[in-house]
Amino acid sequence: MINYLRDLSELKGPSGKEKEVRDYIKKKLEEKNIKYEEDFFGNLYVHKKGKNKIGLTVGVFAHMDEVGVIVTGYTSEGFLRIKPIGGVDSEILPGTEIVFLNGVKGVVSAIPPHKKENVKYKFSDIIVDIGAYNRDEAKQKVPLGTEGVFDTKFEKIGNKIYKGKAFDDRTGSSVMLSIILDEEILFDTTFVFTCQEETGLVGAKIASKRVNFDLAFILEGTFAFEPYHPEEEYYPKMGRGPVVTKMDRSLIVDEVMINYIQKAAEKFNIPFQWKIPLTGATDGGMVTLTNRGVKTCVIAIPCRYIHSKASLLYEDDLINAKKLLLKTMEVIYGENFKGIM
Amino acid sequence: MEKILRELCETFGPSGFEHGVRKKIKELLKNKNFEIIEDRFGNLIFYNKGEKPSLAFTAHIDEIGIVCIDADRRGFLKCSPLGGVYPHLYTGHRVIFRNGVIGVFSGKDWRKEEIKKFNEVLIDIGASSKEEALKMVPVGEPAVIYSSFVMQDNKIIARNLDNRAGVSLLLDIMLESEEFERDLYFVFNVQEEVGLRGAKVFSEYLEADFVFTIDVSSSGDTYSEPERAFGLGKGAGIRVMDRGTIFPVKLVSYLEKLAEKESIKVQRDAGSYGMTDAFYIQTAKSGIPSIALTIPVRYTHSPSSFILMDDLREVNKLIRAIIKEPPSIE
Repeated sequence: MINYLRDLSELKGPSGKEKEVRDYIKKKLEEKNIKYEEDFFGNLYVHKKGKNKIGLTVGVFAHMDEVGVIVTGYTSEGFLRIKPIGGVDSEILPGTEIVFLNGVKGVVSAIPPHKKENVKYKFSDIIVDIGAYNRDEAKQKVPLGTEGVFDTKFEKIGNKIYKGKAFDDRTGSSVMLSIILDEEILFDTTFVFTCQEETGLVGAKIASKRVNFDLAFILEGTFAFEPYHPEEEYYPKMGRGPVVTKMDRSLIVDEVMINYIQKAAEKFNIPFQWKIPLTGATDGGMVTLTNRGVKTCVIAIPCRYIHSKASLLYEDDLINAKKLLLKTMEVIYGENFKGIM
Repeated sequence: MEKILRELCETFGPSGFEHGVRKKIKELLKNKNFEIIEDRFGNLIFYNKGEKPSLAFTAHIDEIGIVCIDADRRGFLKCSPLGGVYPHLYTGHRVIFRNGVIGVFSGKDWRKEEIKKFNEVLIDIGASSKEEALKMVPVGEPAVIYSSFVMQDNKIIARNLDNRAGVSLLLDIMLESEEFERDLYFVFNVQEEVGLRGAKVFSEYLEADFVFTIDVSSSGDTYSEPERAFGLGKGAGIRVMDRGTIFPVKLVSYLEKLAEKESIKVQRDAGSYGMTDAFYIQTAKSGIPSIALTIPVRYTHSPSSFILMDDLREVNKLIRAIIKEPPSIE
């Protein structure tokens, strides 16, 4: 599974331009002769057969896109002006490397400490240096509207700890891909790789109207405890197992689902942690509002420093997220989908 | 109606945890001949087959509340809001969790400084360590303000008149009438306070020609200079505009004519804040003509919402008149 993440993490897929990611997934599916569907919007659907037939449509979602930037202008000296795609904090950009979809690389300009006096970076203060000498050259190298993402190598930096970018949500995508390619499942399930989550859950909105789901699982990469946050605040921690959302800005997870997940975790001894973020939304918020209400839950992999140039991840969290999803499905099947219809 | 309203107000049911309210409604209506439609999101609909046009009356059954998210070392709980909770209005009040644990909504130095943000809020349940606190109230446990229901003369005071007042109106009409000739849907929807989520779900499958949403609306009469004309004691509100919706002109004039004919006291309700379920109903499918009938309320989303029985009666009369004489379809 970590190999899928290795490949997926380094691909460029800002919201709306998920092609590289989609092509990689398609290639992997084709290698194993697995059929898929693609809608006009770019969402990818895999209907995987399970050992048993059930009368319900079960969906598993992960989004392919990541946050990024888009070129909105040029300076006469040949620097690029940019704006965010999804939640990118302008203050963490200076000094980072950006790679544009056409392969051109650049560095976000940063004021050295000798000169910096209480400067706060807003997007209007940020320029990207691609080594161009003037406006025309810059325009020609990176046309207006070209998207870019962080340029980060995927690496192992500690015992079971990996560094990379776009862990939101390439972690979820790699868990899903590994279930499709390498696992047997209990019942027929539709796996959906969605587009444009970071810019407003758009892909999920389309996908959940195309297929009438009864039950949905969302696989996400979520933020984990960051060292500078006070300890008593409630944050998921890296290395303590997958994160199960009870409630976020878009979704109150039904008790029935909470109980199933808890039961699976206890029965199969899988570590997990609860999360009740004040902020943030997932594809689940869209999916749950369709088809007379879809019972929806979110299982996420806690990653430090998400939405930044480099995030960290603990390998076991990824493995346990997959396990928790599969075992929850098993428990639900065992109890004959009680409370879900 | 008084008895039903009291029972509803005393039932626990913040957004996402409306189970008790649903149960109460079903219990009250168990002897009535409605077809029951329940969706997986938690919306509860009662249908009576009859003459077209088909009318729907909706009222959300959830209330605002808080949810425990963690505890600190000293045993104070941390919490997040369910819907529009203003910490400074809750400070010093008691809260009751679903499992019965009661605590005080407090925060650092709250007597001197107003608590504005939820990360400053501490719920004191009398625990002395983090472990003890989370054993008493696990993460994710919801709570509401712990307050009593007051009905005295013409006034009613309760924490959750938004929107148990609306729910009680529908129940009263459903219980009092022997049989309806009209094609009617009575919709009790969930999760309004966290973003009209229940309405988004049911409005995609509801087969009604007109939808009337019953909800409370803040009065503008508690300031020395009235903020807007809408106020207590002036009768049923006919919503003309709010932050999310501009209501159909035809329905506004239909209601005003109807009220005049039946001598029902009505007032126009217009403002640029607040939203009702009609926001999603109006834009569902190819557009469903819908309007909000409002009950004027003071101090909404505080521990003591305040309405008048007189206003409630006028809204009740208006709903009955609509069923008798519905708007025409063309």
